[in-house]
Amino acid sequence: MASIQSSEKDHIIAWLAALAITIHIIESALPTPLPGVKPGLANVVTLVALLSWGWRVAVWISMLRVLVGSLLIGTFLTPTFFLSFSGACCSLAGLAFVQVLSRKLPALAAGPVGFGVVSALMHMVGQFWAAYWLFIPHKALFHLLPVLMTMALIFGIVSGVIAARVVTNLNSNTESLSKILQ
Amino acid sequence: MGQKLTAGDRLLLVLALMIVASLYAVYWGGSVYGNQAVIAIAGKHWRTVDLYEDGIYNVKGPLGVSRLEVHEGRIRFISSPCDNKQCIHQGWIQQSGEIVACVPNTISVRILGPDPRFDTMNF
Repeated sequence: MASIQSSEKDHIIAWLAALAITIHIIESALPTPLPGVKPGLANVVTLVALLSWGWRVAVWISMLRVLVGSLLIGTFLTPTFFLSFSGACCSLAGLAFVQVLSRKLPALAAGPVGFGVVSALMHMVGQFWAAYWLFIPHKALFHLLPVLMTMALIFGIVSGVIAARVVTNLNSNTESLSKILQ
Repeated sequence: MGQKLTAGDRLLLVLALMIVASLYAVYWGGSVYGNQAVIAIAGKHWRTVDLYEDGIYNVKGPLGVSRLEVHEGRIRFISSPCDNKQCIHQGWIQQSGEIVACVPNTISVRILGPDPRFDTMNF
């Protein structure tokens, strides 16, 4: 009988995506003071994936989170979905950019906090861009931008710090991790 | 934590802070383009110029003549007898409240707002 071969990387993606989706759903249940402001802790999983397994894994996890998360919450193809989708795309583009720069200039290589900040700010930019062009094309929206970006900056630093911790612990527990994944 | 901030992290943080700060300046600052600029020598009012009348002004300070250029709502120093040429490097100014000065030659330029409360009578 033919069976689909799954690599260890597939298992990692599945595990991390499940984790990201869970955090995504829990966060969506939290009340927010402003539309578009969320701690973005699901992004920690994307950051960990990027730092430990590379950009491709991060893309998989981010896209699975947006897709499956929205299907489970029931917001698939609603404005909320497009906001988080464009946010995730911009965020991944930002991460790719910083990673390429980090490789070209090893002296200025970014760490978890740098990636976290770029990812959070780019996520907000993507979300804001979608909100402006698709839903509310009004100049007054720009008055919200400074506050939104400030929140993104703060949460970006926080998720970068958390991701740094997670990556350190992952590295010291590599054997037990690969046991889980088998 | 804190022990693992790389140089790149710091650079990105500084950049991010600058971007966020400039967003506040752009969207909350209520910056207005001025119509007039006040030129002062040694703190004393010399002349109020219209920023929409293009021209060159020769302003005589204690070190010599500084030349100011007005062009389409903006003003800048184009030459000055000072040493470091800080005034020239600052370039154009155009928003109300902005200031450019040649400190050695004691010449300062300030853009006036469209609000007539602050006119030359305040000097």
